[in-house]
Amino acid sequence: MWHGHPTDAEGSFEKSSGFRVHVDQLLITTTFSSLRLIVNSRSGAKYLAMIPSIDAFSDWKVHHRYFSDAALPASFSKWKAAALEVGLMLDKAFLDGLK
Amino acid sequence: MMETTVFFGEVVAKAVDIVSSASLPLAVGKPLLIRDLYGLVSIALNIKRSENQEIVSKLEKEVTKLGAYAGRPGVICADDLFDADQVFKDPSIVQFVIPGTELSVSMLDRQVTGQDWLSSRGETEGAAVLRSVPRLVFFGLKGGVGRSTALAILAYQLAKAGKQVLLIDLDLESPGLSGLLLPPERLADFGVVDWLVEDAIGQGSDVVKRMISASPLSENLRHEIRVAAAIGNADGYYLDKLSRAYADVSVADRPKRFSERIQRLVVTLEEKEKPDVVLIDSRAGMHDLAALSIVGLASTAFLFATDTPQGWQGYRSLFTHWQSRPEVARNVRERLKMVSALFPESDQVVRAKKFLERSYTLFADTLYDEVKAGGVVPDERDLFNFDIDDIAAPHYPLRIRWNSRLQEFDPLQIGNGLFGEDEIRAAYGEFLDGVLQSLDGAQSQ
Repeated sequence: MWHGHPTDAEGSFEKSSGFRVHVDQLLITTTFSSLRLIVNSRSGAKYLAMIPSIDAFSDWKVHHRYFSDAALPASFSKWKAAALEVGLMLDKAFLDGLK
Repeated sequence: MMETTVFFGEVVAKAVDIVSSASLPLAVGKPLLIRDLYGLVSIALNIKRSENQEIVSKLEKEVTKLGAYAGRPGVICADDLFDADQVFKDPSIVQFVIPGTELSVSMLDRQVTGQDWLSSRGETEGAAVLRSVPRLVFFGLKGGVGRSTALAILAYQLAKAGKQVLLIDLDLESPGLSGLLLPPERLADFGVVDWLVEDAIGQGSDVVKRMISASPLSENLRHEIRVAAAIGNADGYYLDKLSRAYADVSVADRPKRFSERIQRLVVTLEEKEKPDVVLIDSRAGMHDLAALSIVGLASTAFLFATDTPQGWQGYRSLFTHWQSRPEVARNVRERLKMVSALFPESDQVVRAKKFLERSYTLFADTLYDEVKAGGVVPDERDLFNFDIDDIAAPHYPLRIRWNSRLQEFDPLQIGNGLFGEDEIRAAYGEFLDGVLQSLDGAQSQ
């Protein structure tokens, strides 16, 4: 327990605690490719097709944000390429009026 | 003062007016209009918002004149975007000409469907192949005008004339071509829809091997009619597949639009089958598949029409769409050919004249270059314009004559004596000769 909230063995909040979780814990399986289970419709397929490398984030954890450059794991270049795809996809969605 | 409602058709002209009146400094560069999926228009400037606050604020205020169609935000700057270069150099940007004026603007038109009516053939994967294999596309704004039957009869005549024919049914929502040319037992395991579904998960090449049938119509001829049907015979679930067929997918880690995927399929089939000519049955109406077939695939697109006001109105809407994007119009117009379908048995001279006049007026108003009286013409040979009686012109129709016996015609019966060659020629002769001549002309060039 931390300040009255249940925690797991590593000291993180349990999912039932009501606290929001980060994206790396949001998806229903351990990989980002499970987005395919959520996306529906022709528009959904369009945006999904723009992020083919999304599964590169499967070994990304939110705490990697705090790593120093020297400590970044080998996956960093894959994450960077996938993030680029996401950025370009968000530009398209922005221009489409999905703001 | 009461605000006036702005409607869709007025927005671009008003936006052009805003841009023209804004007297933007030269350093700002050429503004780009971006129209989003809902039709809302923003003005995009390739400058940093943070360094040009005054210009941007002034313009944003002006954009509110577009009413409910004012983009949100009204002005998009380079620093609002993740990669501004990709947006400002997007190959889909076209010059949009305001109808009835000479005002034009660069516009990036984001659309839910129909992008292929405006694509440039030069961007497509199939462009290189287009030069070597003629692709004849059959299109009608309405169904029931004898498009598929004409296609089947043409396929027969071409095979008879010694040409290897590949026929592709892209009328996915109403597949019928295979029924005309293949008895059910000859249908291949897979069709175009199967390929679209399997290709999305990397299994397209397994399908291609099992999606072509030879039509019995060509059994006694020198060359074959090979058919890629929309539908296969292997495992059913057609609607389950069709509901996934239009998806954009990632291929080799790049997003591929539906149209690019179909172009790749056509090229793959051409490489495999090595036909002398490809015939494509397009979906009727202003559908994405028709857009892709006419703009992205056709070396010649045959536009089937009957002489009805609604038919002409439909073609006028389509041609006007191209007219407002001149580079698209230039890309498409020389590949069009009208077909006067179901040409009536009575009053033929008068009816033929009326059809010709209406067709000419349509083309002259929209796709032909205007010859200005007394104006400066750089070189008349550069103008895309024809006399009304020029039989080689896109507006001059190839006629298919109405014949009651041929309305329930089964092309597979051609060889059994039920329908004589004379009877077929009486109805289709002018059309067949026109197509064969255009093919011979294209090959001799």
